Amino acid sequence: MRDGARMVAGVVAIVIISGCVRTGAVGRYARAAGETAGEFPALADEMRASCVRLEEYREEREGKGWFGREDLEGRCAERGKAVRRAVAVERVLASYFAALGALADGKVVKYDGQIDDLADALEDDAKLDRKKVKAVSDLAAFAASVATDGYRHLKLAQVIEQENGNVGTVIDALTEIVGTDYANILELEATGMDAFYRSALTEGAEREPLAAILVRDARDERAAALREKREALTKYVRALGTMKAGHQRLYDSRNDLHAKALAGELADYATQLEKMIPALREAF
Amino acid sequence: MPRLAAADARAIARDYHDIALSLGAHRFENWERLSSARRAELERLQWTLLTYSSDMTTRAIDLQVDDLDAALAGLKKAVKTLKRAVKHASDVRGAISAAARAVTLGAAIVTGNAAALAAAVGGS
Repeated sequence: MRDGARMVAGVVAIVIISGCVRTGAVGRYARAAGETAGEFPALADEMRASCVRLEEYREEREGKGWFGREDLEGRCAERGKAVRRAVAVERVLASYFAALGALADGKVVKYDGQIDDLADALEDDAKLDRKKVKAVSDLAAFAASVATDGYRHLKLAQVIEQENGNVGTVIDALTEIVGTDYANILELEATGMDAFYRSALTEGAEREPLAAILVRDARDERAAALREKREALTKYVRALGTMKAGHQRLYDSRNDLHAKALAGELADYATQLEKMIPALREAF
Repeated sequence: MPRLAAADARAIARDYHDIALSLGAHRFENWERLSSARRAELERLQWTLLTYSSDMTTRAIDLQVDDLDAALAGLKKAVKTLKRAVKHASDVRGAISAAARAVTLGAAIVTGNAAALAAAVGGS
């Protein structure tokens, strides 16, 4: 009886020493952040496409001999190269959040097979009845789980502490690229579009009034598309801000990742991001 | 020549764009008074300035990414650390499960007192 009690005490001690860490909220936030970052490539491709559209307006006016958009792609090669580099930056950020989420979510990894083996062995070797065997094996499994959680907690805390500055720097840079550069790109396109349509209408509206109506309609459609892109850009910038705030919150609580208040706040950040993702997907 | 900063490239891009915008406004406001040659000249200049602004914006993106070398190196290293930690967490869990199994079996076999062991577990 003494040995049995000692064994149980040992298992219970593992449970107590390890401490129970609630990392599910961290995982959910990290997954949502990674998914949000993952919307960047489509947006980045729009930065290149906008360059091609601007060139198209110019060529329509200057008419130096071109056939279709594909002829203009080469002129936007530098833009394409720059946005590919920006996408590579976003990939690193998304990988970071994916890895953070994977470590935080480790708790859901199942070892049911091992536990079943343990239960069979106990029944066969120690002649315990199944109900009591289950109690022992459940306790052992729980001990394994929380011991691992302790390790994960430590690693999560270390990485979050080390990388908070880098995460902030990278998110700030992406925010500049999207919030300033992409906004400028769309503004340039709008200026080019207005120059193109206004010139065409001023020159030909009197001569061809019906054609002028169609041209105005085409211009309005394109202007509406640009407005939608601007709105989507604003949403993405907001999403980047939420990602950054969430990581900062993790950093502030890195030594107490199991705190209930943290779990609640991270859930809010995750919910905000999860709501934004479909809108971003639709926009780009 | 000193290296251009991303913010400088953005400011230049913005200036080119503003001049292009003013030229366009001037062209349309004075359409009737301008000769077709003058209008064409103004439009050509406007498109050239828009292209410069576009190029300078591309340069700003490039410069912004250039500045991230250190931060990206840190994050890449963190990804490796996290991946190793995920693997290690699984190893630790497997090892503890195995150890717990050994302890449980050992205690049960040594004492041979299954009922007492079960009672102790039930009361924990």
